[in-house]
Amino acid sequence: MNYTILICDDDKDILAVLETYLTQEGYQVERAENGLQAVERIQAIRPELTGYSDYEELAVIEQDVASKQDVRVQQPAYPSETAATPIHLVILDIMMPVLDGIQAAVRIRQTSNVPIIFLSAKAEDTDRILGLNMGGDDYITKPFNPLELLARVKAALRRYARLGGMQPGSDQPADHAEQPASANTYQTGDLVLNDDLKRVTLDDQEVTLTALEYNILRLLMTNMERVFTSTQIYETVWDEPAFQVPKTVSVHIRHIREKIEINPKEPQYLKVIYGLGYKVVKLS
Amino acid sequence: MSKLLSSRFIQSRITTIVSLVVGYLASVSVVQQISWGFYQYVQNHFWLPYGWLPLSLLLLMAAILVFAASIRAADAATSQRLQTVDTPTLAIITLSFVLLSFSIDRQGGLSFYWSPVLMLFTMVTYLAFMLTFAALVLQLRDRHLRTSAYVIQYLRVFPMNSLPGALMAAVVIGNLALLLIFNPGLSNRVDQSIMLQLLSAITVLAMSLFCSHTLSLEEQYERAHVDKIQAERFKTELITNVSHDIRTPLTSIINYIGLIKALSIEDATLNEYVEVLDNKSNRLKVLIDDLMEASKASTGNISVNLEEIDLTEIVGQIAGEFDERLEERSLTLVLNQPEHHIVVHADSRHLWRVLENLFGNIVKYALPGTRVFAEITLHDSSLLSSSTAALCPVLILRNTSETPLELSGDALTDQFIQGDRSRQTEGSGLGLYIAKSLMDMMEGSLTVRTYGDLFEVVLAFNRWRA
Repeated sequence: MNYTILICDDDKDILAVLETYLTQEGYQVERAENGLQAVERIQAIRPELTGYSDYEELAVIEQDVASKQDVRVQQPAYPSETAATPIHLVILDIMMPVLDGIQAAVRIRQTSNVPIIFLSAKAEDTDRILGLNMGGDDYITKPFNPLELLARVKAALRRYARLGGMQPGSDQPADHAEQPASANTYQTGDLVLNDDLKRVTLDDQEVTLTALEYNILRLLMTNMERVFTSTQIYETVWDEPAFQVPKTVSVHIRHIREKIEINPKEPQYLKVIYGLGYKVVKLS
Repeated sequence: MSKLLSSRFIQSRITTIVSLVVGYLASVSVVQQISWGFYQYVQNHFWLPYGWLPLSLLLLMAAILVFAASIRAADAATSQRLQTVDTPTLAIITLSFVLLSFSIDRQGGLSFYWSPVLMLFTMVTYLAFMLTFAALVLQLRDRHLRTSAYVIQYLRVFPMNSLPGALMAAVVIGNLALLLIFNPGLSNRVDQSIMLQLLSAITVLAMSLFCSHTLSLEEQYERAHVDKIQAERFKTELITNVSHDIRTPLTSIINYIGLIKALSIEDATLNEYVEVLDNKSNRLKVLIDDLMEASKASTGNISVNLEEIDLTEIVGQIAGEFDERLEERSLTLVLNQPEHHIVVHADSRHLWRVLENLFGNIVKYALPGTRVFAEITLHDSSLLSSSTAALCPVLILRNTSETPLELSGDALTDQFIQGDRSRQTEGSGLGLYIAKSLMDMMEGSLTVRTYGDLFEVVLAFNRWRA
């Protein structure tokens, strides 16, 4: 399926570079230069479904902007025939003129459950938390690594597809093949561990793990959300006398993380609980 | 009443001094008259149990109760503290004290020919005294210790074991002793008591002058401190905003360099130039992040959640994290830790950052092919700093520096410092400074020591579970 991604940033150079990366990966790209344009573009998709109570408020904002900046209100940049094209993902900057990214995300969430990835120069934890609470699915800080961005875009699209967001109007998750096939399959997000086949797949692609790595991951995935100390992991997985247990376990954990995480420094699945141990996070 | 409390009259130093002197004078006379009056009372009016005294005592008790209750209530509703609760309480306390002094004077005053003057004195003084006292209590509760609690200030600036402190204490105690010995109230040797009162008044005056001097010093310090905090906050905000503004163009630079690198360019020179651009722009990114973190950490603009952390575990974790980078530089890490686990109270993310910075330094600056020592042990912290705490857990990291260390340990933890001053490597020079600031915030300490080429960092944790 050909996905359409809406990119929204007030810096044209960044829009250009994003477009280059995304089109190289085969995505359709549309641009918006401020939050309001992005909101309009999303709401243009299904005007009959919006039931949007804030339309008047929106009009007021437009007028405000028009009077403040003394320019004509920009006509929606999208002619009516493209207005029907669904958007599958939004990449939103936060600090933008007219309507900032956070407010834009709140407005988009009123009518649509399209995945939103924030891309912002604000790198503090509080900004991250705010972004994720205000309807963001992911948060990437500038300057960003293009490979990480693409991987996160891919992951977000996959989650969206699996949860059935692609069919407008249907609330039921689509049937999918990766439904746990047997009791010995454990899944979190896109990471699946099948204990019958002794196989780990990430996004349907097999991950090559050593025997020790597999055993550690199996221990953590069969007890998701539970924190294991390095000693507990060592005692379960290894069968040799302990020597510098925390360090040994930590090395293996890092190797696993490098294999299953998009960005091993900011793991999604296998989290390090500093000074305590390790756990696998349960994701939908 | 609260308006009165905040007025210049009450806050002025002259009021404080005068009220102290007069209050002291009056309280001396009260002491006399309590004993004298009580004696008279028991002697002559034993059959009259109801007078002013029980009534005012009762009022005083009630006032104390109301006051305690009001403090509780005020704590519950922290938003509106001063105005609502304290005015009636103050009124009651003041009134009851005036009544009390009046009653005492009335009982004993009969034998003093100058007692109406004294009575007036006592009333006015108690009023002023109570207001000052109330201001003190309120400000104590609001933790403005520095500007109000002059008694505490006095003790802090002139502690009992210093010479001026000891002198003052001797004078005061001597005076009190003289009072008790020579003037038990049973005699009415007025001439002697006047002498004594003059003596005490001089004492009190001297004390007040000391206090006011201390206060003015403290005020200056406070003002400078506030200015400094504001300047620091401004600096942090400036750095945060600027770094946001720099990040956006930097994003374009880094990404366009990435795009250029993705083109297949034959020209070797051009490739070399692009490589330089790539390195430098990434260095700039690290620099901005570190700068922001350093400014936040040094101004305390960062939250700290102390939790229980297994020191052995977290050191093992960081060692595993840096395992390969250490191997690349042929460094051997020797972990030296006790059998039992040591649990410290620290913020796990901040501690992780500290360890990341320290191990990052080791990877960058240690002489390849040498051993790096990490030792966890219990240590006498008084050897590290002037603090008096006995044993505390420490983590000691030792490595051999690749380049000669030209700076002392203390200078190395300053901002923008790198040991060889050359700034050739990828660091920002802020790593140790950030680590030290974070350790300070977690009530620990970071000490750097150098012995020739041996570089040693000692992390001490003052809060831990024994």
